[in-house]
Amino acid sequence: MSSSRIITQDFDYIKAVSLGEALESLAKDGARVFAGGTDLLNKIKTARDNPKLLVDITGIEELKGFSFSEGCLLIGAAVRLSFLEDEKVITERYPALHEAIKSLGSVQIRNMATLAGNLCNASPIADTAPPLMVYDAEVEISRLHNTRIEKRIISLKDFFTGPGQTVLQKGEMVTGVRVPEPMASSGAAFGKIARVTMDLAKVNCAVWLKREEAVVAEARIAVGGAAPVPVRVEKVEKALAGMRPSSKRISQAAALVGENLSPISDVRSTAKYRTDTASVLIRDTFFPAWKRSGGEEITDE
Amino acid sequence: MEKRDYHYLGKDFPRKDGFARVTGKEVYPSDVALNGMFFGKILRSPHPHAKIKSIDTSEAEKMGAVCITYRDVPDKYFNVRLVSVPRSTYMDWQILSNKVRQVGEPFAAVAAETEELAQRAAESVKVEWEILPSYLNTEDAMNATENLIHDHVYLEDEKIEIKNNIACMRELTEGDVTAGFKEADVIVENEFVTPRVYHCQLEPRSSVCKPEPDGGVTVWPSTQALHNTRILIGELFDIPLNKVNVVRVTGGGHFGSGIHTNRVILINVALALKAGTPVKIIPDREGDIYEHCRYPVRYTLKVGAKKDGTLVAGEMKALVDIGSHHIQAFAFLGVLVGWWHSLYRCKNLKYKGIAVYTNKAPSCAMQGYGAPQVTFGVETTMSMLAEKLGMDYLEFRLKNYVGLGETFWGQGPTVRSTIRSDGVEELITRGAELIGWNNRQPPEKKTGRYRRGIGMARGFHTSGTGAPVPGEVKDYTTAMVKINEDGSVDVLTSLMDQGGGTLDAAAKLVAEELGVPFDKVGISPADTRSTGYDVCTHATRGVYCGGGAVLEVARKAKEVLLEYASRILEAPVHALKTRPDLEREQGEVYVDGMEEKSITIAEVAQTAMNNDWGTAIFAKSHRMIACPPAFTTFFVEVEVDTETGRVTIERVVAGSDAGVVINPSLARGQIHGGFYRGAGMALLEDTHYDEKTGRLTNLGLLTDYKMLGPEDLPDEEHFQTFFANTYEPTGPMGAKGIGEAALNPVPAAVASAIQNATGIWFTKLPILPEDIVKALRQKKEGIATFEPEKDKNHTIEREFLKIRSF
Repeated sequence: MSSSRIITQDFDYIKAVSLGEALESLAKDGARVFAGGTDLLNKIKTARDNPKLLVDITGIEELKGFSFSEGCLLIGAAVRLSFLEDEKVITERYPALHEAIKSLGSVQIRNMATLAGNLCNASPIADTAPPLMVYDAEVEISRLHNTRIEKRIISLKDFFTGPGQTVLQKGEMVTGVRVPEPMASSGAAFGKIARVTMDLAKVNCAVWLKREEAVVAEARIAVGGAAPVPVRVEKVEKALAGMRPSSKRISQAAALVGENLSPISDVRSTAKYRTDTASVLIRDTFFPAWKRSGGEEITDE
Repeated sequence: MEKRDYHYLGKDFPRKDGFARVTGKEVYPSDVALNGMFFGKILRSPHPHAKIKSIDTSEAEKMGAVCITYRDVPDKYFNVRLVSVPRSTYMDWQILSNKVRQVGEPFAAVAAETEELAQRAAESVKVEWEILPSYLNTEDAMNATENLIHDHVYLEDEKIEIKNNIACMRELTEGDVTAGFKEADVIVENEFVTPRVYHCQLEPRSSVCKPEPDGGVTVWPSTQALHNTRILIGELFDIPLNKVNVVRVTGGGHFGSGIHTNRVILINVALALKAGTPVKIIPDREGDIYEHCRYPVRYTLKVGAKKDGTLVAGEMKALVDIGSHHIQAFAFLGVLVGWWHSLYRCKNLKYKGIAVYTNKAPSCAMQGYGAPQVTFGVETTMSMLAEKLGMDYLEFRLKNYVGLGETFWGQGPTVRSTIRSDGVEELITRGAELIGWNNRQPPEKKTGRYRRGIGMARGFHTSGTGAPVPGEVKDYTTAMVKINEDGSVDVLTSLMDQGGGTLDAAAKLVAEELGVPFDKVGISPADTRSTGYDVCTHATRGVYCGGGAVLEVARKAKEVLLEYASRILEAPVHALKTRPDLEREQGEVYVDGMEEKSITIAEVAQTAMNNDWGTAIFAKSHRMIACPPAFTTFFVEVEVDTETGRVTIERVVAGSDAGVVINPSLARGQIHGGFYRGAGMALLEDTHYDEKTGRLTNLGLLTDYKMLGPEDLPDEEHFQTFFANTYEPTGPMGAKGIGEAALNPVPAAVASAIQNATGIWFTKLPILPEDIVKALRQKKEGIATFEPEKDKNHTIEREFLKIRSF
């Protein structure tokens, strides 16, 4: 009998002052990273998790880093979403990420939650996952080897392994997210279908396009909420590549999305609806992405 | 009495509790803190239907907690809702029982020094369960012949055996329906389904109880009914009422969930009595959500009309899934037919209603008390009939609506009065102009992905449950008005303010009647020892019945005041008048026609005191002898995305006939609030149970109980409100109610707008995007009315056939 008012589970709490201290603590049994806590505390309150140790990383200076240089955006694991949501670099260069952050939760949630936390929670409907996937983001994973901090970098598209599951091993944590600078003549946008404006997604998606003249040179499309993890939908990406976009051709390509999806029916929607609207959502999101890539207005031919 | 110029009525003033509310200083039940107070936790069943084989609270007791189980509470049956007379109040509740009838049903409680310790103690209680077969839908419930949810219930002293989990039934026939349908040129028949909406009031239903040294209790509960709560506590715990004090604390939202005395209050009393120290219980949300919900209704409605639009016959069969307990479903079955009967004139009517127990949260009143459910089907049917007859919706309604001089059923068949104010025509005509009804295009003319649609529906709610002849429902209010020695005034009643400004309205009526500045009229703190009986602030009766009582008492207090003044001014009482003197911030008494001869009310009161004449004070119970309908009409424009099924509300025009409007801004606020919950009921709000586990599929968490937010509703510019220019002759200074009327037609209006956009009539609420996408697909295949998926064998007809007594 759990209660959302009182947490009765016993656990230790440490506010780490250095990455080394955090990683050392994380090697212990039942340790969890505590950043914003907006997902973790819900899990504890509803008895879906039973940690032995919460390692608070919000006091670690090096995880609060935010920089954009040498063609790469670096976001530390302790950076809050509310800091990112109106950051000029993001609104201007990574509009799909900006849109995803804005649509995530409430002001109060964004004041606490972190970008890395949204990824590590590994929800199939994490709003920031699709845009980061199409921007080809990478996650920096750290662990302690003897007393030395070791880092490995993996592509976000290989990060998720199942609902709530990632490649992270015991003792490892995500210390940052790296997003390469979008190429010239590229554009991206985020789309989401939910029950109400402030809500978890039924389906979300991000479309990234590289344009050459009036043709789609390359497309990257990620969809959340329609498979156990956020997925890149290669069928649609391939169909779009080399296309001179028209409403009809975009619809035809987007309709192929079903072949890459395996949605479920749950309290928020049905599998059928998710499949059907995923293609609508991709098509709707294509237009702003195309516009941002500098493409001319698409007409019905 | 006629409309006149008022000093305070119809004008906006900062509400008296406004400062406290916006600065966080208002005291809600969860803010009450007492010395030595323990915190209580309620243990709730994890099973939908089970018996306790054994329960072991020894661990909790070792931790220092006080525990109660069914063995520690009075073994009495009762009903939590005491607004009806005993002869129609079914009793199936116990404070705690050794049997649980739904997931989330309380079966024990603990109290300890801290909330954390209480939670830990609660978690340590061990229970062995005997699992019983459970019934999560009415079909399964009605098929059952053994392991019933209740074997028997009580009606007064009579023990009533329950069969097939049927809680109660009600029927009504007027005229000859068979003959009526023979006269019909067109007939429309549909099945309508309305959702199991959770009240989702901001504050979970909380309570604080202090056992008093004299054996009595003082309680600070979350309730709409102070006196009924007191009476129930006194009866169950055998405490004389003079020792049961229930204190008015501002409620953190009710929506009808506080009309009955929530069981948390009774558990709170039992815990505090055993602990011998004050106890406070604030349930968590996942507990509160299993405590109450709106009555979901499934019903067939068949209505016939002649070519000229005259209604000739109607038949309704309703099935209500009431969940685990009776919160007066008998009364509810009565209002279902009452609202229908009062919407449109029809000589030949037949109605049958059945209430069925299931292993789910008990359903109860929620804003509108059956009217949103019935209005949805009736208004949809009226529009369908109008279409079939080639008549305009508005013309058809104006021809058939029940209006001036006709009979209104304010609370089922036994509460009836004659309609004396009727703004329906004004509401329809002006609303149509504002929305641009004449430019409305039929659905066939709409093309493209995004389709706009304009819809409308009308309705009402009763103002209270008074009537010339008392019926099944109690309805009166007691009030006291006292003129203080400085000319200010205290008003004392046990009315509750649900947030709509009822108490401010009462103060305005008093200020107006006595001629005292509004600032100088105070609403006294109230509790059940210092106030007389008031049935409950429900049924949109706060202003009409409560205000009516307060005004009546103010008049009587004024008589005393004027008698004192006549001695001073040496003029007869009938020559005296009062008015506010805003410069002196005082009320004054003056001689009519000789206005220089005047005296302030303060001087009168002081003179009366110094001469030992007494205080100008009066207390009295007062019953209103009518239940006038507060009419509303909603015109709604939506945009439907035909590919995602998303519905956006673009524009609302809402008209209200509340009689003389006392608090204009607050009344408009009520219309916005009513629309918000009505639109939520139309598009979103519902609760579902997992048929295997009996748990809510949203797990009781707000993450998956979604409500519309400000971003999902039109802004002020696109939400027009207006009031009909009417005067209710039986009302306090011409006023009627508004609260529930502000919601009742909304689901129907939204459905009507969606039909105008898509060409599809939805007969099941909520209308989800998933349903819209599916229906549009079916429409391409030629199906014009979208009915929810259902088991072909599971029809309402079949379920009715099972009941021999019908």
